[in-house]
Amino acid sequence: MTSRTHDLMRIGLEPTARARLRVNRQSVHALMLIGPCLLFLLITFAVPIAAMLFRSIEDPELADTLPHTAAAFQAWDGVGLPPENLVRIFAQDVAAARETGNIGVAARRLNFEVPGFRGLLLQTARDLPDPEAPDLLQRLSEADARWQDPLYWRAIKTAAPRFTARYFLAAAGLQPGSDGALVQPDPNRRIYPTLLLRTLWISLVVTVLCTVLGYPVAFLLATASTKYSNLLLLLLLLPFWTSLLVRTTAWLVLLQNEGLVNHVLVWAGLFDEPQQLIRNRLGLYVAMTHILLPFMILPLFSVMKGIPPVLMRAAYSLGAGPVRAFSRIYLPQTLPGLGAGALLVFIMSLGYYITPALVGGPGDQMLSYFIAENASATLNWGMAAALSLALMACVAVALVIFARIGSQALRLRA
Amino acid sequence: MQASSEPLEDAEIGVRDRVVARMANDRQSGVQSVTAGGTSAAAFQRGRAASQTDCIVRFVGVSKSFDGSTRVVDDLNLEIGRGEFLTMLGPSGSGKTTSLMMLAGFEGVSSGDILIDGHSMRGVPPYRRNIGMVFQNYALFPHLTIAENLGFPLLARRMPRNDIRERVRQALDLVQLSGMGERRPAQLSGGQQQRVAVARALIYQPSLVLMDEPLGALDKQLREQMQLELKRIHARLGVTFVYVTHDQTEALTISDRIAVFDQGRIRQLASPAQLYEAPESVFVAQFLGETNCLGGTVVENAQSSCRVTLETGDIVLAPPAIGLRAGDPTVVCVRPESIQLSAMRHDGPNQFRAEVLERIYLGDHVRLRLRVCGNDDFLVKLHRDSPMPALHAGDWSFVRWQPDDCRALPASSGANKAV
Repeated sequence: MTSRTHDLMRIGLEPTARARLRVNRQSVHALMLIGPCLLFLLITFAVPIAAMLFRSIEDPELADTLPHTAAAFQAWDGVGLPPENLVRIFAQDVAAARETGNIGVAARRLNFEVPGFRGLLLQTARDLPDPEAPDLLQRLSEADARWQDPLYWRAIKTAAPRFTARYFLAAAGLQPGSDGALVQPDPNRRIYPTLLLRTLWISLVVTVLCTVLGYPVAFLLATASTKYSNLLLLLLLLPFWTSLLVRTTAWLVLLQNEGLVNHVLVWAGLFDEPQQLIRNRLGLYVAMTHILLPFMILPLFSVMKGIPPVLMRAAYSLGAGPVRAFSRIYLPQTLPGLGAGALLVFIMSLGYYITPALVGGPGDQMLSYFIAENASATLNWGMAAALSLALMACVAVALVIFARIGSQALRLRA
Repeated sequence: MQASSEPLEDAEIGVRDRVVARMANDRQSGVQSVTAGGTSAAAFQRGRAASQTDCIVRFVGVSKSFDGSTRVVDDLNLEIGRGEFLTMLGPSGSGKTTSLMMLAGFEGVSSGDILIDGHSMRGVPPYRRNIGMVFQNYALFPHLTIAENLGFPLLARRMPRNDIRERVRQALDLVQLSGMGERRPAQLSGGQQQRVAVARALIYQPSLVLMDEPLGALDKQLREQMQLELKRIHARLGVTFVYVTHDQTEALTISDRIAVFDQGRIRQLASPAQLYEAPESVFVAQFLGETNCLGGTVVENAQSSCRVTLETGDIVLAPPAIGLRAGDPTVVCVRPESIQLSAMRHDGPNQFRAEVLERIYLGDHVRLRLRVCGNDDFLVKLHRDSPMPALHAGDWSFVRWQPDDCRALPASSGANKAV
């Protein structure tokens, strides 16, 4: 290559290189501007979610407290009673754990598998036979006959691996069977699928109620004269000035057996005696719909405000009656607002916790309630994390469906 | 498969032909006699009612008030002939758009009645009036394609889908937008959107089409082009057009007749030439084109001419004025292009000394603003080839005009404030 062509090339390259440099510098500046926000999101959002995801598949208790047992039992085939050498390793680990005071952690973990294991293990740890003695299993069984039951030994094998899918399986109503295949446990240990379905159903009903009640209100807001629409908007936003808890308890006061609504119903002669309006599904729907209604109305209102009234006139002038004009011209144009409102209400409903806890009955509790229960009462953080992720998955699916509809609506508008 | 589908297509074409024929009958039943093709009782009724009056729309003493006290439209009586291009012209707030909206059915009448084809429109909703309408900002449906926009009125009339497709294709050809059917309104230029709006109002072949300032949003050149286009469409289809505008040039260009609205009333209803050349009021004279107004008093209104004394004492001769008697206040109006300038006084009436205040060069003509008989806004238009030497601000000259070129009009209150 001659120096001349080299020069030419350099001349030719230089402007683009300089431009690229400039673009780089611009993007660095832009990054610096959004940096604080990104960092905030990373620390408060991404990291906790990642940690939670990790916790939902992590099962470290047995692997930490009875390390040799955990390792040895993973290799066992789990059929019948374990061989003598495995029992010996177990007894040695228990003795060591008792020394370090970690035996309680292992006991609590095993109790999740078989109720009563906690007492058994702690009792056994107290009166542990010499781990070096022969016929160890026989000696253990003499202390407590339950050691003759393969169920308890299988529980140790189940809890042994450091990573597990069992929380997710439990959330899906499954558990690993003795032969490794997935089986359904008995119905009263299979509550989470029912709960998830109940949560989705309640959210759906509330979303539908908000749509049916909110659409006409939003239409009124968008078409009323400014004087009235401002007043209506104020009334709509008024509940936001009080806390969610206050609004929920207000319903408790209104709907209780001796409450205002019941008094009115009885006084009007509709019922002979007060009806059960609270602590059941009806009360839950009423309270949740009321609280979430503004989140449906506001997006609808803003979209409706942008639809020129002349379009409906045009539809009428072209021979379309009110029904056709509404369904073909008005409704399709409000779909983006309807979608945004429905998505907001649905996703917020999925995570509702305080309201169902206060106004719902025992059969109306939603998934969030059990997440809180697992996280704070039974300290089963793995289960709480798995349930949270299941809920997150529902939100993600709702978002994907919305994005589909939304992009179609956008394509319609473009 | 091919063989079996052919008779089916034939059948569809048959249906389409019948639909087209029926719609054509509907349209013609008014002008034709009672024996015209329409077999239904409704078509018979419509044919007879219209043949008696030969007008498609009648406003009978229509008034409209939104607040109960001020009348936006005040005792409107108007007959619109079948196939006519009638323009409602007036300043904003004159009641022209309200009148159109009452005709379309979007506003109720406070009193009086509107008849279409001899039938009262009281209580008839807009979607049952079978009127085509073009709105100010086109009002195309943003979420539908152009083809769907055009097909919407046909779908509302339950026309078979194959017929709709064919009609839409024809309509797109008519407005020179073939191949644009799958686009959205937002992807079209203003002029194209306008043409779609017109096509959509015409596609179901209504006998009456209303237009509410349809060209208001277009630039001047496109607007003039569209005016001629609308005039051509009107001539070809023979449909009745009722057109609302505040642009007097547009009204003069396109209309068969113009109704000049002011303060809820029609000031004058006449052809463009009549309106321009023989305005009946100062308002009409000033609203259509430019006019010079000179206030004065009628001295004598005889068979041959009308003599007016101006406030300056000058005498103006005008053609005989209807409804003016000696002593009445009057305003003499004369168009800027009717005025001649000369360096010296000639024999004859209507000659006055004028001082040039301003000269504006406009290419094909020159405008001079003069002071004549105390009027500082006296305009004269001189053609470029005019023999008069160049006049400049501060020069003195003489203006004169033929008595037939000016008109003595009643000085109605508030109308001659431009004097």
